[in-house]
Amino acid sequence: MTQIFTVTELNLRIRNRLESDLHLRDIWIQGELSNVVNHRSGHRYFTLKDRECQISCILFRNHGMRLDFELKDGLNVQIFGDVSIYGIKGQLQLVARGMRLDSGLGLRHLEFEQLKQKLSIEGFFDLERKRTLPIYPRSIGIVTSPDGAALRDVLRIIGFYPAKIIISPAKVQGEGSEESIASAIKALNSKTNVVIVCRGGGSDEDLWSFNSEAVARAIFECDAPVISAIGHETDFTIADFVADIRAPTPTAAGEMAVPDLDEIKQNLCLLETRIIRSLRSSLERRQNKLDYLTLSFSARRMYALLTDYNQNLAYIGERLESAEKGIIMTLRQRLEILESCLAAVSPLATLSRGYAIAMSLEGKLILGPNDVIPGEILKLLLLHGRLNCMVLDEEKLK
Amino acid sequence: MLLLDDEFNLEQAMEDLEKIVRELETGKLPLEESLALFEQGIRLIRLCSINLDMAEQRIESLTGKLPEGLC
Repeated sequence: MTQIFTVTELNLRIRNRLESDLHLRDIWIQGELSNVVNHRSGHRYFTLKDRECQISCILFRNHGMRLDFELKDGLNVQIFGDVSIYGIKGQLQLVARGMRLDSGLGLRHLEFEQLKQKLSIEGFFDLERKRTLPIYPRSIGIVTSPDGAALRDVLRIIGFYPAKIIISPAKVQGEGSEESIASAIKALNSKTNVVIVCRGGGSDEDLWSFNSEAVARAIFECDAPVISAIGHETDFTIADFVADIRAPTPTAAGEMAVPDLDEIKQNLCLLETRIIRSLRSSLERRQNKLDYLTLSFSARRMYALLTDYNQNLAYIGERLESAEKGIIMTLRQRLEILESCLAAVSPLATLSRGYAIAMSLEGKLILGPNDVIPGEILKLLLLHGRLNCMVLDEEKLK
Repeated sequence: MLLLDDEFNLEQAMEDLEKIVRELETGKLPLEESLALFEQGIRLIRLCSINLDMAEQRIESLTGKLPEGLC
């Protein structure tokens, strides 16, 4: 006859079967925590999952006391325990007796690394690709949750800067958030000079959509430089690596997006001073030049010029005079030399020794009796003068 | 009014301003040009200052309404 069980009996049978199966006892299972509930009783309920499957778990208080870390959603762990069934609910569960953090690469971590590797090969993180932020953005896009604190943090900083601010709301965590963020970034295309993608702090799981390829691609393709500020300072997401610059916090992102207003105002003051000073000095220069020219044309200047000319003239005159004197001196010296030369050959020297020169009245030298006739008047040149003499007689040399 | 024009470009204005100051500081320009540049520079400075003082926010949202009292 067919045996009919009550539900309780069935669950008991299942339980016995499970608990006697060595393959399901004292085993290690690795996975990721989610739906962690710390019950008042001290027991902890949670779900362990991997990419495809999940299983309910319980960690009883007496086992949980020995844990040296807090259970948190998204944590990768390894659990030691047994598979059992919770009779009242008929629910299969893993009864954990020991747990440790999965220090190796968790599944998510693995996915993260794989995506990072892939995008790196595609050049998503290339430094040459990073764009510089505009100094004076005219339009700033913000991709974030409209209700989050991150948005308020950013607006508190950039609020006073006179730029247009376009908020592109996105669902930043949970189901569909990847697509929401990606399309919010795309929606800003050709509308802004800079885009801030931000989100406040949260668990790894909360931030996970920022590790998605869809978001990475949207940031990569964004036509304006992107500032990322996701989670806390210690959180690094793929989005941060792709972004043109990463800000540690949304507030810092705001500070990066706009210039310091006080600094610009100071700079403006400085420019004003410079512009006024340079015009003033340009005017002063012209005034000085005018003054100088005026001075050049003054009567005093003219007199001074005249005096100069007079002096020059006098100087030239002096030079002329002394040059003339020089010439005369030279001439005189030459004359004296010539004189003494002449004296050497002059008959006067002979005359001084007592000789005389006889000449006709016409000046012809008388050298012998044939040159004269008796009764002729001759000139006799002596050292100290001239005698006119008459020829009385002649006697020729034999 | 020009001052509140959406098209006012602070970056361009600051750049122009720097250029004007540099040119004036060379001191090589004829007086008329200096004066014209000076006027232009002072006007730009006023424009920038006014633009910077416009604390009035122009926030818009691409989708949906924004929560009240955002800033």
